[in-house]
Amino acid sequence: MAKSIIKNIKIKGMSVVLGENEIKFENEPAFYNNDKTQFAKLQKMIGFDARYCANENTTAADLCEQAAKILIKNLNIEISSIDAIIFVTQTPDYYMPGNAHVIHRNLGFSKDTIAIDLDFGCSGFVYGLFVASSIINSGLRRVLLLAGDTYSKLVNPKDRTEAPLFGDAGSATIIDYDETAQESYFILKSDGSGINHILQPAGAYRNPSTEETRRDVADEDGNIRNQENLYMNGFEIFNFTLTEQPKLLDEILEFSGNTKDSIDYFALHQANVYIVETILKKAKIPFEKAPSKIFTKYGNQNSASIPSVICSELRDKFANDKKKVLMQGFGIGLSWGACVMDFEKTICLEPKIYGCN
Amino acid sequence: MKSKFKHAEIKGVITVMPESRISVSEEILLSAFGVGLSWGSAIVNFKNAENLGIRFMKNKSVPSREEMTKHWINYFKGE
Repeated sequence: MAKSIIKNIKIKGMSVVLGENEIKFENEPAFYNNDKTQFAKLQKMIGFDARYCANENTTAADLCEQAAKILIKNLNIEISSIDAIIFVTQTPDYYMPGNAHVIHRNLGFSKDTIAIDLDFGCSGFVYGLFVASSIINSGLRRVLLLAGDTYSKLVNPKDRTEAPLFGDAGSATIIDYDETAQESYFILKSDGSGINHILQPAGAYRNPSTEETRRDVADEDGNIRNQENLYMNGFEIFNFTLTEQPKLLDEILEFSGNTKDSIDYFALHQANVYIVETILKKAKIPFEKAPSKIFTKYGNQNSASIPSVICSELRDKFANDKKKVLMQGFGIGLSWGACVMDFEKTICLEPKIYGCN
Repeated sequence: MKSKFKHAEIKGVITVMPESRISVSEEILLSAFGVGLSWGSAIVNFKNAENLGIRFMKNKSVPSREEMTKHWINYFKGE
């Protein structure tokens, strides 16, 4: 049972950078044969409105690098005070080396800094936080956690079940050793039997890239994709989410000795508005404690989605006060995880668009 | 060592042990370096650790490229 209590860790600050192109769903009716009824239904039910996608030449490493620079400057800390870089992404600059090494070079880290990549999607922020906390628990003092993706480049624009969902973003979080910090609680879960429910079937080593794997095919609804595009089985993912996520919410509350009342804020991965609100209703979480409409502003930002909830909607809540926050992510793998942690005097910065000061 | 097993990435560290006939009850210094660049060392106590040596992989049945393509296209189409 992957349940863990980690002492003496504190989130010092967090920042998010968005892809530079704002795309409005209202400008895409042609993809739905200009069917206004279907268009309006999707907009209302799923929460489609705006998403930010990165330019062709902008990568997850670029987004996270800018987020890191902004955060380091605002926290007024030295690069040399950071013992480890963890980069959570599934859209790296290279197959090898990992993005953490790209950041290590670009920000001028010393040779004494650890650089690690983690291959996770929507559950990645919680997994990254767990690894960062474990590293601090092993005796180091400060970790830079970067979590970001450019999934808009993995989806086929003509696949209307996937393309309007994903926005690109990069986040940076500084996690410190803190003698006075309360215990943090983690529960992490995996289910490899669900590999086929969200995946990019070809392009790596099991099924390498060929002309055939790049050939577009249409499904019965007219969505077009090839084997190197992201594929998500919406039905299976919806079932997984509604079966496992309310259960995990209850489990982490019990494990951490909390109740729905004693948690100040719930920061859930923003898959889409319908999914988040359905989880909240099923778990009986009050909506005022749990932002559920970030998807409408930015789209599904994968591993950067939880930092976006915090930086966009909760950043003023714990600048001075101590607040208990439950964070929960779920997605590709399948993997899912939750943690409960105190936020106190945590500097969370308003999301910025890439390239803007 | 290198002439027999060649460069084996992480396995390169593990393969040292049976070849050197190191007792599993000893402390071992592990050291590795490579892409990144990254490098690291650790001293690990292997007492009571089972050393199963090195074996050749048994072939397992995997689908052909054509079968995989057919599978994924059918999966996309919900067939």
